[in-house]
Parts: sequence; C-alpha cells; structure tokens
Amino acid sequence: MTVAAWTRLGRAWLGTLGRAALARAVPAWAGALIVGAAVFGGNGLRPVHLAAIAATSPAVIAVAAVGWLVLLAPAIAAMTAAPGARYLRTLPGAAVARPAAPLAIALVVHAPWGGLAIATAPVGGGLTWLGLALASLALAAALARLTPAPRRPRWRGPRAALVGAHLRAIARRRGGSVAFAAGLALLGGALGAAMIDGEPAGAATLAILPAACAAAVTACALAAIASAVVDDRRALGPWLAAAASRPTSATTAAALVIAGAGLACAAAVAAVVVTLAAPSASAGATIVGACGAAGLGVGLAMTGVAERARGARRPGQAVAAGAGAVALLAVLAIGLWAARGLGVVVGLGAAAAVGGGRR
Amino acid sequence: MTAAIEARGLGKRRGGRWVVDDVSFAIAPGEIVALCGGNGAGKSTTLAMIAGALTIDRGWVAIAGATSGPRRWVGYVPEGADPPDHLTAAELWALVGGLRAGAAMPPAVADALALEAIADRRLGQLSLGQRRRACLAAALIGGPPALILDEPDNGLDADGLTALAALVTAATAAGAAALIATHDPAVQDRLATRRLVLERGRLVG
Repeated sequence: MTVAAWTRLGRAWLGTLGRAALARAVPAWAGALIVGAAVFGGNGLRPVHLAAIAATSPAVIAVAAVGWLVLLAPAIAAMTAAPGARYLRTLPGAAVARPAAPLAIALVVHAPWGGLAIATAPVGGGLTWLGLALASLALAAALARLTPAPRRPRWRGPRAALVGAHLRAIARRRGGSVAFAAGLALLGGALGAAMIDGEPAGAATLAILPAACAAAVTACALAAIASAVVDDRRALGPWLAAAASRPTSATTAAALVIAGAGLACAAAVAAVVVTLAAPSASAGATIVGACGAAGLGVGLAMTGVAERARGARRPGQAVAAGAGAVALLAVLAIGLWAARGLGVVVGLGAAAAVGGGRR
Repeated sequence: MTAAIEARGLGKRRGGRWVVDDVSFAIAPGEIVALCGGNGAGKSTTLAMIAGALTIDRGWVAIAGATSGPRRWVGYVPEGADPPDHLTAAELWALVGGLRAGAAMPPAVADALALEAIADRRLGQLSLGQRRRACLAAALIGGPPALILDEPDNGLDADGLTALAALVTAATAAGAAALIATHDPAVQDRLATRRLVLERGRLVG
C-alpha cells in the first residue's frame, strides 16, 4: 500500500471510530471541566495538593479513577459498535489499523488524565496519575469487550415481564448511558460534598444542597434511561396490544424501572457526599433521606415525561426537554422551600407519573 | 354460538382517505380464514386493528364476545416480523408468557418449530424465517382464542411451512379461530376453510 492509501485508510478509521467516541466523550470532558473549575477555582486547590492527596489517600484516588472510568466507558464502548466499523475491518490494512486506531482514539479520549499527569509531574504525583490513566484505559477496553451470556427468564405477570424487558433494553441498547449516569452521580456527589464543606453541623442546608444536587444529576442521568424505556414500549407495542394488557401495568413497570434508577442514582450521590464530607451520623442519615426523596420525586416525574413522550414525533428530544424542565423545577422547589420542597417534588412527580399513564 | 373473531363496520382513515372501509365479518371457533388481496389492499391494517395494535377509527371488534379488557387477547404475528431486537427469542416468549399471566410455551410448539436452536440468540441476529418462527411460537403461548397471523409464511422454509400448517390446524381443532393474511395461493389452499378478499380497503368477496 502507498503512503497516500495508508493516510486515507487512517483518516477513515479515525473518522469513523473517533466521531462515535468523541460524541460520548465530550459531555464527560465538559462535566470534568465544571467539577475541575469548582475544585481548583473555588477552593484554591493546586496540583501540588493533588499530588499530596495521591500520596496519602488511596480512597480519593480510587473514587477519581472509577469516576473517570465510568464516565468514559461509553466512549470506549461506542468505538466497538460504531456504524461502518465492521466494513472497515474487511479493508486492506485492517490488521494494523484495527488495534492502532482504537488505541489512538482512547488516548485522546483520556487526554484529561494525561494533562493531570503532566501538571503534577513537577511535584511528584505525575506517575501515579499516569498509571491510573493507563489502568483505567485497560479496564475500559476490557469492560467494552465483556458480553454476558443470556439467561432464560420466567416472568409470572405483566409487570415483571415488562420490567425485565425494559431492563434488558437499557443494558443492551444504552449500556453506556448507565455508566454515564454512574459517572454523573459520582461527580454530583463530589460537587454536593464541596458545597456543604464548612457548613455548620445541624444547618438546614447540610441536607438540602446535596438533595438539590442529586435532583439535577438524577434528571440528567435519567434522560437516556427514560428514552430507552420509551423506545422499548414502542417496540413492544404489537405484543402489548395483542395481550390486551392493562395500560396501568405498563405505566407501573415504567415507573419501577425509571424511578428505581432515579433512587439508585440519588443514593449514589448521597453515598459519595457522605464519604467525602464525613458528616455526623444523624446528618448523614438526613442527607441520604433527602437525596432519596429527591431521586424518587425526579424518577416519578421522569416516568410522566416518558409516558407523554411515547406519542411524540421525536420521543428522544421530548424526553431530553422534559429532563431539563424536571431538573430546573426540582432544584427551584428544593431551593425555595427546602424540606417542604422535597415533598412538593415527590408529590408532583407522582402526579406526573399517574397523569402520564392515563394518556 | 359466539364468534371467535367478529368485526363490524371496521374503518381506518389515513391521509384523508379510508384505507379500510366498512369491513364486517365473523369467524367461528375452529375456522381458518385466509384474508387475501393485493399490496396496499388493507390486509395488514385490518389485522393490526383486530389485534389491537392500531386504533380503530370506525366500527368495532370483538374477540370471543369481548370488545375490550383482558379477555380480548389474541395470538398475533405482526407484519414484517420485527420483534424487539435486543431480546433473545426465549426472552420474547417469557415476555409474552408474562403478559398472559405466566403462561408457558407448549412443548409441542417448541418441538414443531425447532426452537431450541434459536432460543438463546438475539432476535436481531436471526434470519427472517427464524424471526417468523419465534413470533409464531409467541403467538401460540397460552392457547389464545383467536390467531391473527400477518403473512406468517413469509421467509419460512418447507419444514417451517409444514410446522405452521400443523400448529394452526391443531390450535383451531382445540377451539381457536385463525385469520391469516397471505399472498401464497398454496398456503391458502392448504390451510384455509374460507377466504375473504379485500380490495382498496373494502371486502369484495
């Protein structure tokens, strides 16, 4: 092959896989930038401090490494399923391009880790961060190749059957979104912990600020999950219709999946807040309860959004717009009315779910 | 005797015109009826309305006397056989069984359609004929009172066609009624006890 042919081939590989990976990586970079701005800007943290943390606190390193891994897992996974990748593998030069192109893109995707390594190199922490970057890269590649063997389920009723089908739709069609939601929860938890740093024990804001954080993060994380449920309901339409199953069964199943995911996401936010901020036991319990209520309310509201989006011409966009509105309203309600605001979020969320199911 | 499938004045409007217009018929338990007609005659739309997959703009449908509610359930093979591709065939059967109060796949169906070979494969990875087998098996779970089959023979090999004929005949012998849309005269001759002919959305024979 000539140099020109290799150049064209390389451009095709990088374009095909890179576009798919970057589409997933850019939101993660943006999220990392926001958290970075909060950590380095507001608190005056410097690379030297990070190096000190790397040397003394394995827990913080682990949270950072896992957070970065789950945030970028969708980008790595997207490369394996990129449209056109299968065709590229049949072209000449695939033996070289097949391992080289994903590696090059993965290195770009992990650039912020590399930047951190360079920034901390003068003070001695660079090697640690670089090692973490390479380890997370290897782990992400391994996770992307992991495909569990299917099992044969036996569902006893309509709700269980639909919950099972929805969970499989999320895991198999939007697996990357689950990882992204987990990453968002970690970042949200870190932000929540930073927000209550220095708050006096017993202050009302101690639970309310993390709860507002959990509400915003959960709404964003649930957008893709609710969208997967909407797509699944549409795909299962003929089978649901032929079985003449009650519409309430389908709405209940959607609520169990979406609100359950909301609760899990909010619980993850609360766990990170409690781990990083280390409040008293009673304050920790209040934080967990407040975040749980926020996650439940937002999850129920997103169920209503999903039910309404089923009839929309562009359901994905309708769910995304709904998630934005839910996040804004939930944060406003919690910010304005504190604990009562949490009640409002849960109440309005339940009303939205019931109202959406009746459509 | 109550008809297994009854349609009266059935109509569907699309783009300002009736694509199915005033279609009425009744099918008794045990009958196998072929719904014939050219492309665009309204066969699939009629079957989708009877199965409940499409809203009815005019008229009504009753399955074993029920016009709504859980008793109005049917075994349905939709047009195109595009089941949710993220599920395995076994998961599709479990889903349909769950929707029908935990009903299980009859072993005779699994044997006749040679389902073991495709059970653990994703539906999106199966051939058209294999997807048809999976959908036909799903339609037969729980012994429905009515079978609504939209071109079930499409993509089936000779063994599959034999199994289709045997299973539909067995289901109707057990008291179900079957309404089958097909373009294949041989399938019509082999299976159907009666024919309904659609032309431009209207029954003409």
